[in-house]
Amino acid sequence: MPDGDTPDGDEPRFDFTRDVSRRRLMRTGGGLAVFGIAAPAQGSFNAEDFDVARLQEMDEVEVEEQGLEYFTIRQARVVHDMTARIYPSDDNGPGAPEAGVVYFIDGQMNSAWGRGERWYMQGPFAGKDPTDPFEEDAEEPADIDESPRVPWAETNPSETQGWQYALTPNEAYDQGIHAVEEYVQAEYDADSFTGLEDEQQDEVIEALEEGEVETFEDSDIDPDGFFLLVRQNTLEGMFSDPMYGGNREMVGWRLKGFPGTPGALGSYREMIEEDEYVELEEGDYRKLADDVESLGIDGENDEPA
Amino acid sequence: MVQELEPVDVVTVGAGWTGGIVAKELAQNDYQVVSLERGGERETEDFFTVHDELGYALRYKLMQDLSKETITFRNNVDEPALPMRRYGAFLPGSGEGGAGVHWNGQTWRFLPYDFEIESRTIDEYGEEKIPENMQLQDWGISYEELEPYYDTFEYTAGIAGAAGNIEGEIQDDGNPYEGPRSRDYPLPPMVDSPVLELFKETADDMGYEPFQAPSANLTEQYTNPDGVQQGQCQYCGYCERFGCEWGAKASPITTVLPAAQETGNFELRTHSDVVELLYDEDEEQVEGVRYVDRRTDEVYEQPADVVALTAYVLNNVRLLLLSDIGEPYDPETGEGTVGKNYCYQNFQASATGFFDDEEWNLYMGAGALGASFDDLNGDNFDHSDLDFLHGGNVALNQTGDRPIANNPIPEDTPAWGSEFKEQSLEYYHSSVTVSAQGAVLPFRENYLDLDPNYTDQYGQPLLRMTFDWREQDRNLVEHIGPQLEELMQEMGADQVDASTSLDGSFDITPYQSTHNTGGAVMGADPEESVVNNYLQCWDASNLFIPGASAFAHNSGYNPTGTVGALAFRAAEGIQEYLDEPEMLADPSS
Repeated sequence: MPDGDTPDGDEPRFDFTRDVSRRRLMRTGGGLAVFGIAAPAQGSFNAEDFDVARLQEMDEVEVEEQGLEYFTIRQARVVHDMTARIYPSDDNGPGAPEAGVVYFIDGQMNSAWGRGERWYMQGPFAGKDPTDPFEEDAEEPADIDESPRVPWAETNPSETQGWQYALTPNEAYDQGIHAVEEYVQAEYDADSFTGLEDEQQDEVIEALEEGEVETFEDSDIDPDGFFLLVRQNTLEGMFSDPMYGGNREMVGWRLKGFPGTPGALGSYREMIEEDEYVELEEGDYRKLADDVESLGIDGENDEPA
Repeated sequence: MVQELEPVDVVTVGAGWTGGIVAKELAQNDYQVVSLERGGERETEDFFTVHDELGYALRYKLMQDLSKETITFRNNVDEPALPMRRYGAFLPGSGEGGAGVHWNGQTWRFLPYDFEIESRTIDEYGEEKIPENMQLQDWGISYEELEPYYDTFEYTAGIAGAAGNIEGEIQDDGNPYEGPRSRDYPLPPMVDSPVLELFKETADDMGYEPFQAPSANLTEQYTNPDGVQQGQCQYCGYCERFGCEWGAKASPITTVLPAAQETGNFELRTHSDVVELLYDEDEEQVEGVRYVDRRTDEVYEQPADVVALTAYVLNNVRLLLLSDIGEPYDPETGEGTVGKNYCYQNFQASATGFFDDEEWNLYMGAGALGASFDDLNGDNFDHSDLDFLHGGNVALNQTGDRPIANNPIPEDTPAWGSEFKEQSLEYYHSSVTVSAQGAVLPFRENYLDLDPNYTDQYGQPLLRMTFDWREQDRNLVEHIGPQLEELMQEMGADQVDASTSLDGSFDITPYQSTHNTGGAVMGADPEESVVNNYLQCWDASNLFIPGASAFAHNSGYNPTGTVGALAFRAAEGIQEYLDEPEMLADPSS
């Protein structure tokens, strides 16, 4: 029989909560509201310190060369305009141009993610002949062929098999942007996607979504695959923590009524049961940097293993 | 050069729930235990800055590094399998605590029916009810036998819930379909939220038996039988794919691993990547394991009296195949056992409601905050006139709607542009989904083996997954889906978009669930199973393989409760084995 079926109420030998609270006391100088124990709602987060621009007064970001880590200025302008059509500024408030989504994506290009460092990128790739990675053992007799020969160049991946492009995300952007520009030059009287009217840009994005942009034939990614990537990154740039370069002044969260990290409201334990919908006020939004500052743990949180 | 280390009593391959439970139980009984964990160390303090949707939920900070190791996948044997190059359908974890750090905490017991599914189906409906290529089989253990281990896991983790059946007495607030439990949950259920109340009232009016789902998000501060105290859930909405900065989501790092450490008999070696079990086929014994220290690339051999293979499902199966233990399963003949009965979870039946006059605080939540009913699960309803077996638990979960992943739009809304923006803002606080967690039953053509083309960072073959939906899965969705649609309409949604059919093949791209099961299944017959009902390998009496790899099929619930119970069962078996080395269960067929 497994033992341990009699929980005793004795003094715990390990106490994670106590550990957390001790650290909180040590490091926050009494800012208990961060985790909502002392003051559940609103807490000590001071709305007067909330120095963001009003939503309707936000300006489009300037796309400038010196702010870029990965894209060329021309690439950045194309991406900026694409994100502006995917999540536009309109009657419902600011969009990707104000949130600075282009800078988010540019930063991602130069990250481990953009370089595909945690993706499996070994060949062979379906649709491409491998450079014979499996014949390195030359001493093996030729007539022993344990593995079935796969005609890689003639193999099309099934749609259910996921990303099979021989490209990391930043390479996909390089090729995708190039193909979009070629398409625009062939189909429109324009030198660049950025020179098109809004409606024309929408046509191009629709064509990407539909997978009907012939200039992608020379690239390793499909137009619809490129569209999905840009769409996903646009939403990420709208709604991820501002530390990643998008969602400037928490504009995406304020549009949506999402408070950010729960620090702003402290614990939701008391509130979640209530029938009332909480209308967030400007001072309720909170980003990770606010948590880090109030916890005094700046720079301590390494990338988890 | 391989360095051989001093022998220990027990070595575990991985330090998640199963490795942690085995380590704790054995270390507390004065055995020397070493756990080899390929990832790094983790502690609650790592998660003070966890409220980062991009980093954790979309860049997978807590998941295994696919550049080092992944799987290959195909729908059928006629296709070349291709590597899972980036994450999609499921997310194996890495690091101390394993997937037990980033789980949601939904903690179920399987139904008594599950463990005897083949014999009960034949008794109830006759043998012809089981399709020819469905490899339904009993688990070699009954619910009643497993009950004490479920109980131990629930009290170790601090599970919050409402009992539905205590020693045969049906309880008002719980699940009346559950098997008898010896006592109530250690903690009271999670709080209600308005949308859960709406679900439960509606389901109740329609004749279902709804209840608050069992949760490893702790509802009170709790000191477990090992003297470990965990915190209280704050409903912050960052559970799945995240760790908990409160220590309020039961995980190996907040329960069994510190309890093992306290004994002084336990050593955790992180960055230690086990590449092979050292198998003596003549003796039918494993001598230990070979592993690589990822930081130094040094190779070590760790001899042990007992090896507990406690990695994730997929790696358990892969290590057996790489180590030539047992007979690999062959889908053409149906013979062999290793890699057989790979199953998954079918979430296709669902209904999303869009409410024009309601707003809820849906960003608040917890991984296991949910209401559900079991009327359409297991054999809780008559299958006589139905063309499928089993079913699924139906639930509405409020796990916390984070903003990148949640942009709810009614069908026929464009995926981008002003209309997308308007609709997704409109319904962000006004859209909820009910879904069925469909059981997946084993089929002859769904299996795991080694890939002939692709290799990992060490040049060893990747695991190859061959899996597709079957008529069973499609018929299950067509039966349950319309009932969910009706439920959502009754809840008052102005528009209901329901998924009432399962079209096409299994797609590895969209996230579905990290509920991979099978491949090293348990049973009473060595011809049909890899391990006996102590999770002891038929081909190596000192090798124990707990985990969801032992599931003979996957039920209509999250797997972790059963994984935990089986790990306690295995730990008991290991102690018995160390006391008297022999097979602990006689084969029968």
